[in-house]
Amino acid sequence: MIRTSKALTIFWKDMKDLMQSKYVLLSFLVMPFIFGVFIPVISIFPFLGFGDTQSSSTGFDFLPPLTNDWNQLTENQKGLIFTIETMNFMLLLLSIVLPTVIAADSFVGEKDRRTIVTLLLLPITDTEIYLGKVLSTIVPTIIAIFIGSLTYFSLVSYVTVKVLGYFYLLNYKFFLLVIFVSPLLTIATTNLMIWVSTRTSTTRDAQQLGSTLSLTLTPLILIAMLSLIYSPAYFAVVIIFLGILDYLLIKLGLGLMDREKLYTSL
Amino acid sequence: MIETTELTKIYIDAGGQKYVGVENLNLRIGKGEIVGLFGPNGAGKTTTLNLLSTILKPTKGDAIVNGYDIIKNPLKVRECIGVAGDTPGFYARLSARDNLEFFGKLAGIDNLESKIMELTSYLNIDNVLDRKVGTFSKGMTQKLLLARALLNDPALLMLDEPWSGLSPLAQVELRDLLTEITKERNRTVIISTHNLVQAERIVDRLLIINHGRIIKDSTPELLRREFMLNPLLLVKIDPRDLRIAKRIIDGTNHSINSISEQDGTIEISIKDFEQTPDLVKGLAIEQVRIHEVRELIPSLEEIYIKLVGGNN
Repeated sequence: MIRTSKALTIFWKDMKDLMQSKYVLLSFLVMPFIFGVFIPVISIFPFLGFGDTQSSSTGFDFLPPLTNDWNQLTENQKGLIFTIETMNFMLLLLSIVLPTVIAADSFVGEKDRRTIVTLLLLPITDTEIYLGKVLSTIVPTIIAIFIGSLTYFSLVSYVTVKVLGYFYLLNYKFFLLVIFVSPLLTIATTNLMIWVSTRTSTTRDAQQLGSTLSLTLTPLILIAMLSLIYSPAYFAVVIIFLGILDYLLIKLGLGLMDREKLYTSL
Repeated sequence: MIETTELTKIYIDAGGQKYVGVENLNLRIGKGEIVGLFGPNGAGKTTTLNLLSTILKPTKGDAIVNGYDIIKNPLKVRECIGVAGDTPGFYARLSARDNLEFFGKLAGIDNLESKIMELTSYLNIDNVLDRKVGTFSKGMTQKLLLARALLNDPALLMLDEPWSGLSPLAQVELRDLLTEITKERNRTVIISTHNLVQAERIVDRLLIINHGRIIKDSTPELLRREFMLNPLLLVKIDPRDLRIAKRIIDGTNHSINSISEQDGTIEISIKDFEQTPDLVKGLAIEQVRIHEVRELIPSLEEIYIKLVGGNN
């Protein structure tokens, strides 16, 4: 039986500890700002100033229609929509980048600082430690993504209302990306980092290996986004695939939560 | 309290090479005993503690700690032990209070706040409870470590190198604290250390371990007797009286090992320490001016070096 109170104690301790780390805190604050404010401002706001030219042949003709009224849109509007979709991808990258930073500190950091030994000596199960550690990576990441998404949504909406005349992101697709794809990717990256932590002994090594491996998950963001635009049924398949991947990675992570292995790999 | 049967730990390194951590360890440690675990680096001391604290699983054999099997009931074992390891394992960015609260909550301790206050004031660190552990001196960290290990009022306390890195003064302070804690609270204690000077003043029993095996299981007193086959007495007298003293000693059944004419020191090989008063009386009757009389009892350190020195 898993005692969630024990896992939550680990989670709250990690939150307190993370808040004391300037380096992690900076990543935690700066990254949502970059992805949620800075990038949209420099890439989407310029569309407010572009001319509203209509042409029969545009630079976006190579693309399949991104909206139902694609052919009626001006080049500026098509450019805006194309840029927003690209920016969505950037926003979802947070699900991969942030867990790499946080897990490296909260999980590998326990090994690095040898505090993991003290945890292993306490009357708690491996699963409770695992759950606590996973929560302390997933929860701040998801909060950061939600905050980033909210600011991103507000800024993008301001521009789309001006340029398109409606809230472009106020649709189920964007919410599906933020509510389903992002947390599932976060769980996958976190568990990948746990695997990485069993192979490395320092936070720096974990970050280097973890960030390289995490990049292999980026095609999943692209596939999820494209399937949402072109085939919602295919999107369901992507979600199921991500769910299965998470399940397998959790099983792998739990299997790796072996006291002896953790101790002897220090 | 502790009973091990053929407890064995074999490590296998990345290259598949096997090496012995501990081998066929058969131990019986009773409630309230204070046991010192001595041995060179890599002898198996930490492996023994890690097996008893359930971090490591035995390759063979078993152990019962406070009535619980380390393999079948590791959680129960961890509930009744307190460990102060060789690395502190504190969260340096958090305060001492936060650290103790965290470990206390995970250990499921009732009345945690009052326990923390009671222990930290006893250990004289209550005034630094809200300071970050990263700013603590080595001595304060050791005290905090002790507080954490005692938080759950453990039936078995395991200390791994408690004096490591401490100044001589801090070592004495910690030793006195440990003496108080261990005697007053009637708990079983295992101290793994290289510091025999400090340990020999606390332990009731000592286990000398080498190459994963117990090579000596004795009390400090018995061990000293065993290694004191030739009792030696050191007598320091006025150098002007050396001739008279030599004559008196030669007339007894004792023999002189060495004489220093410069400072008047005579090392006497005595039959039995019980005869020391008679010898001193004989010297005093002949007006020999005696400055010092000392029985040369081997220290545990000397015995330890004799026992393991040859093999290491």
